Amino acid sequence: MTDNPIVSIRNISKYFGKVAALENVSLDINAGEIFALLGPSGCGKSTLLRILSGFETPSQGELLLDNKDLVGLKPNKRPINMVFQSYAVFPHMSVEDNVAYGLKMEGVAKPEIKQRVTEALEQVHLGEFGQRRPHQLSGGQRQRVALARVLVKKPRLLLLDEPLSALDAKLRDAMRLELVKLQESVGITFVIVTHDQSEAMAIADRIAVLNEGRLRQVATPADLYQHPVDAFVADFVGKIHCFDLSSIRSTDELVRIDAKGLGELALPLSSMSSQTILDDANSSDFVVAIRPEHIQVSLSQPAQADATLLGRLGDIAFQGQHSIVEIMIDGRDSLTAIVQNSDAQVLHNAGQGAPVWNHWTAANMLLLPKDASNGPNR
Amino acid sequence: MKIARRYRNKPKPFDYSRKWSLRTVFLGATLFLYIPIFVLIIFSFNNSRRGGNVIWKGFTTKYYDKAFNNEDLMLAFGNTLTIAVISTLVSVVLGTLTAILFWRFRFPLKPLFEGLVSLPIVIPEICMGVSLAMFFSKMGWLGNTSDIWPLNLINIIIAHITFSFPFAAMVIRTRLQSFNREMEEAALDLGAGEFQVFKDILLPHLKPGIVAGALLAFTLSLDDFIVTFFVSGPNTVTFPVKIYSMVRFSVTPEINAASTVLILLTLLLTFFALRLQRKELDGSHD
Repeated sequence: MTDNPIVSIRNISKYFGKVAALENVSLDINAGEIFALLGPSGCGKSTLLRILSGFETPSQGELLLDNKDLVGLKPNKRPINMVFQSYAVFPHMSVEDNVAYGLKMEGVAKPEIKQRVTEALEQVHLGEFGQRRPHQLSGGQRQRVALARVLVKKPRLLLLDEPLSALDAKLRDAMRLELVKLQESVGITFVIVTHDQSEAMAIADRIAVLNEGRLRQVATPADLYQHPVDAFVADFVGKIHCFDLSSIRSTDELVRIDAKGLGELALPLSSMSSQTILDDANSSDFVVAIRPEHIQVSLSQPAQADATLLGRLGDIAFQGQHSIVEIMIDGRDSLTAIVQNSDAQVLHNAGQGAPVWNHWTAANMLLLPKDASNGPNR
Repeated sequence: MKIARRYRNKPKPFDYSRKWSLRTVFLGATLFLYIPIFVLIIFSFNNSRRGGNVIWKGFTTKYYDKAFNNEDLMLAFGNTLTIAVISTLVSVVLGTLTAILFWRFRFPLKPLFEGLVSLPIVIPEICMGVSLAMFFSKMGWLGNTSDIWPLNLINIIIAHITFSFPFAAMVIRTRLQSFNREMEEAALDLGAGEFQVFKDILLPHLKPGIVAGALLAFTLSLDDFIVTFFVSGPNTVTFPVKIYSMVRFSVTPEINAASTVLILLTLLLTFFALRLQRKELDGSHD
């Protein structure tokens, strides 16, 4: 990925009264990418979007678009447009008038408006709906109107606030693909706010994970999943099981740990998210974690495995191409494992409550700080 | 199936008429409300010298001729319409601005101001009439202020605005509650200025509320007697005040005829207002 920032967010903080909605957030958004702001509700991602659009002013920090300062510029003076969560399509205007509105405000000549509106409506496959009123459209179609309305302005940056949250599951999947295709064809930089990690993973080129007003990690979806900076990010971007540590010691090639419930393990250095030398003093700041797809479940004790954990079989949920197996463990939360359907059948025959061995290789484990934003090795 | 069942369970507009008890109550209430008005209308065609006469003496339209040729009555009618139109226009503008003020801004003592604005709704009309009469007499505006139309009616117009704009503000404010603020932000985002947002987005949304507020203000002004009675001079008589003075003299079918014309006028106006409102509402459930 070339380093070609269109937007630079530098040390931005936003306080509402004494409450910090954003604290010292810095990140670059590259030209032509789909960038996702991901986080649980109240993490500050919407505030950041509203700062980009100009509806909120940051309490501190700089905001640069094409190396020019944006702070203080009103929303109607920014070459940035937004698709709102409620779509905010104007109900008393026809679809065409909705799309034309932004161009009219710019003072574009009428014939050009007509041509660009037709083009934009074609782009979102609403070519024949120009004369319709918004209340005659479905939710998905209204969203396309909202999209056409901003695309027609050819903004430098397009912001989308939870664009898919109001759609039903099937339409959502279709719309994900369409958004990506649309972005590729128009080449405008997209910034998407979402709380849905699978949505962010599917659409975005890069993702910024936020929590409690702080930026946790900016990475590609694969990097975020495979190399999360801490337990929060790891858990937020996909199911993961964490084990507390009672001792930790790193050498040149290996990290030796004693995980509660798992015993002593030696992990390769690549499983670490940081390269700091560790000792027992900070064992309580770390966890070791494994994702469900790396857990193997068998009815007999495995001959060779780095980590094993005995449990009892719980529910088995059939998911189509695979099954999700729940395993009850004494003294801790249950584990879930993703297994092949053929294996699931064998487990199913054993019946609920049957003793099973969960095992995995140490190389698949991640050694993570509990909270990288507070830890010594940020 | 599910949809069909829900549809079946949903009460339809005239479902209550299936139960005879409800039908009786409905019929009774309707008759109670409308019989006096129907009697009034029917007896405007009664060929009798006294309108209070309940004996049918044959059909005639001569009292309509008489009413339309009664110069004093027509002048009063014209005054009433002038006052109603002007006070409605001003009330709607004031009401809209007040509603937006209270909806949009926060300022010190806001609840107090809100209370003060809606005071004319609850205050007894007689008190309002007396206070306004005192105010105008102190200002020297009671009686003839001017000979130029419509300035000669200015004190009545001011009085009517005072009690009808809070109603308009209330109705418009209710409509404002359903406004999606993102709509306003979307327009700003697309490059509109504050005034364009108001003109292109907020005003169209408010239109049904404004129409309803205008209708309310218009009817309030049209039939106001008490406040008008206190502030009108001898040469600025309105329709209700004129009718009152005629009734004191004697009830003739002429009064019935004039009232019928007024009823028709209000009905027509309501019909058009409702139609306009329905058209607007159809396009705005978002």
